[in-house]
Amino acid sequence: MKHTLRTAVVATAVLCAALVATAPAYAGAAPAHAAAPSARPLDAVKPLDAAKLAVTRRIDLRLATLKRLAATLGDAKQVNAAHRGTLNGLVGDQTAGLTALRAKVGAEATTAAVKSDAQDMVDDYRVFILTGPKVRLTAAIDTEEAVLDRLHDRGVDDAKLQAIRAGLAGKVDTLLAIAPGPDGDAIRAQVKTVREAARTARAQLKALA
Amino acid sequence: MRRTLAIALAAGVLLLGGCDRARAAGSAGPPTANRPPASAATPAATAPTTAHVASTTSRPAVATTGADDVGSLLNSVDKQLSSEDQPTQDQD
Repeated sequence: MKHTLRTAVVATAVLCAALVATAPAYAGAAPAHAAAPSARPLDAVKPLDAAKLAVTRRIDLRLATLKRLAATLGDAKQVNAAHRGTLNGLVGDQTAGLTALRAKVGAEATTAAVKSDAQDMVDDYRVFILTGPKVRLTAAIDTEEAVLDRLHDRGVDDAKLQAIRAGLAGKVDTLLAIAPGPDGDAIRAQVKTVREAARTARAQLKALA
Repeated sequence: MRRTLAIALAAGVLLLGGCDRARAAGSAGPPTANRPPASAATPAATAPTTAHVASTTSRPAVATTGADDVGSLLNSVDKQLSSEDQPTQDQD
């Protein structure tokens, strides 16, 4: 009887040890199963699948950026209603377009088709070099306009304020009119002009404030 | 008999320890489920900007035209423009 009891206890101990040893293994395995398919290493899949994964990741980066831009725009209270409407439409359209493109990439049958989709992802949207600056620079310039109004109310020299306002005139409309396309350098050059105008105005406003 | 009790006690401790670890791992869930993706952390730098803008613009537009108001607006311009200097995640 005593021998049987001891055997049972030892068996229980062995079972417990096995449980303790395997618990971390299960815990560690869970995130691996939960990971998104796009997180798989590219060298572990076929060329077509690897191409799809790579493009899908790049589309996801853009979708995440658009989400942040929507939040930035929502928080930028000085953006005027017309500009806000245009930008909300742009972000919404691009989000819908890239989401559809993501699905298209997933259904492609050749690497050439995926490559073409990748080019569309860049040329048709220009999220990083154009949409982002559109949101941020519009917010900055409209805020500078608000500063001009505040300084006017404080009695700052109107001639100086008018000079700053002239430097900003039409810049947001110019920026919002830039269309995405294959010529990235041309887009960067156009955006740079507006960015520099915003920076100049900021420096001038700081001097007056 | 004492030896048997000691072994039983050790086995119990091991069992409780194993169960507790498993429960802790289960309640924590997969790390990716609770943590925001790395890209979501990026706008943290802009969060103060937007909060700042909200706090300044919630005031009456012209009635409170103090130095603080102008300063706050200029700060938000600074932050929007400095966001423009950040490298993008993709070069196109």
